[in-house]
Amino acid sequence: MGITRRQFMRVSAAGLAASTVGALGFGDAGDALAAGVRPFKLERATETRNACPYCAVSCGVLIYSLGDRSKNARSEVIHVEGDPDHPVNRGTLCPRGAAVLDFVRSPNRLKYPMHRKAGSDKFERVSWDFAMDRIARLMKDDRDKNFVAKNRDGVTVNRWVSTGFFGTSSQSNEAGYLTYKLARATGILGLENQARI
Amino acid sequence: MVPAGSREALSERSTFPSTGFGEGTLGDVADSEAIRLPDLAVVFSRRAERLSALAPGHELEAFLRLMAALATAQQASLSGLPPGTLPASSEVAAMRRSGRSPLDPVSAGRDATWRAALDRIIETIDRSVLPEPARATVASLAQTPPAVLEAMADRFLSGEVERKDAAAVTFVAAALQVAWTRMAALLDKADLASDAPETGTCPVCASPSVAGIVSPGGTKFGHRHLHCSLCATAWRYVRVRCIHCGSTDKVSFRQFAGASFVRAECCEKCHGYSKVFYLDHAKPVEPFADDLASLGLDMLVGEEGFSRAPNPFVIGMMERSQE
Repeated sequence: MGITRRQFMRVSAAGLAASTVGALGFGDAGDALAAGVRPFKLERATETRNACPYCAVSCGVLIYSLGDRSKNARSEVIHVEGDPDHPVNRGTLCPRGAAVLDFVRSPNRLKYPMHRKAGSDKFERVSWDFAMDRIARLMKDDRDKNFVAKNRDGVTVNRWVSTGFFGTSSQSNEAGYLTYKLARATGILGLENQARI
Repeated sequence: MVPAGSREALSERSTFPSTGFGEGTLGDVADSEAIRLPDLAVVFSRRAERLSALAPGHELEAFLRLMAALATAQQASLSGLPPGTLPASSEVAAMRRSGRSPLDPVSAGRDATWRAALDRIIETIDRSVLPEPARATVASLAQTPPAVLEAMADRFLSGEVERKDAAAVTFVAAALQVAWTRMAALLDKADLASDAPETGTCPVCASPSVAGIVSPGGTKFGHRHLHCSLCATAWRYVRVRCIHCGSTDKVSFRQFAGASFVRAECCEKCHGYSKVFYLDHAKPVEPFADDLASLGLDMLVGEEGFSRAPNPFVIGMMERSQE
């Protein structure tokens, strides 16, 4: 069997004796190394690309986390920094973006829909289905009540100005397209999202 | 928009403090070089220094000391090399424009520079750190006829080293490194600019990378540079992207619990990995030296089924993988 500098190789203690290292006279190096690393545990970590959630500049961020995402073990975000390879921010972040880790870990962070019933003084967790139905119901009621088909001069305007729509600053093209279509189709004028820029 | 000329004015770096790899630590622009050529004055001596610093108490102490002696001899051999040959500036530029590597040792010819380097290495290497088999190898290399040496170099460069050459090939590789590092250092950076997509192999000599180094963040924006295993050129490569297959999909890292200055960037798609060193956590990192000193990490990552491009001084230590 030949040995090569170009092919993929897998490192092992057993391979050492038959290697260039072994041939130079360090035949026992592999076993020594294996014994040396035995007490250590390998830790799994990830660096994930994402976009900063704060403003419409959408700076690229690298999110460092520890832990095995493929198993049931909990992984933990440990650090967030600007993505040096991102063409928009080239690794930089503004003070808000640089503090985005606190946003991730904030005890006040909203992780599921919450609902405050009329007359109640506290929010309660609700299901997504409930939240969607409720929002749709309220939007429909409001639109039925306030939709303006024609203005004073009888010109068709089809507008609905009593409701506004706020998308996110980090939308992709596709999500921006859908947001725009939905809002404009219902007649909403007060629309703000990434696709405006 | 940056006004014309201001970027050049900003990137005037001579007055700013810098680390061993030329990363400015102050006032640099958000743009690090796409290709960084080796600095002949320090390339091997820095490596030798780092190896000597890593050796005490290491499981591979004797091996690292031999490598340090070898790097010292490599540095010494750089002075007094005969003039060599280089492709013309226009040729280099044309090859880069089409995405090829101008000093690819397999396609380009090879002059006798490396044999002069080998003679110097054999002559100057500190024999007191060589174990008996290595000493015998050095002695026999001094007697080996040029034609046999050339054949050995061919086999190393094309990737089929014979088992009987295993010890000798270390010194052959070291001499080839000297020759290629000098050639790379003499290239004109302007000729190397290219719009060709970034690759995981060296843009100068097409050799595999030995490790990647992420510069400190802050003013230097944490780019990763891969370091060539043959010509010591460094080139920028997007982080969290497999250097073997270019995938960004399923890349994750393995590290020793608690130690974060070196990580193995593993790709679940091609089951390849490469090492990444973070200068933030360890300033004096030298890619070659630290790769050798962190072979223990390779061992554990190998057990998880990942493979790498070999370090030229430990070929064969790695078993040929099934992929």
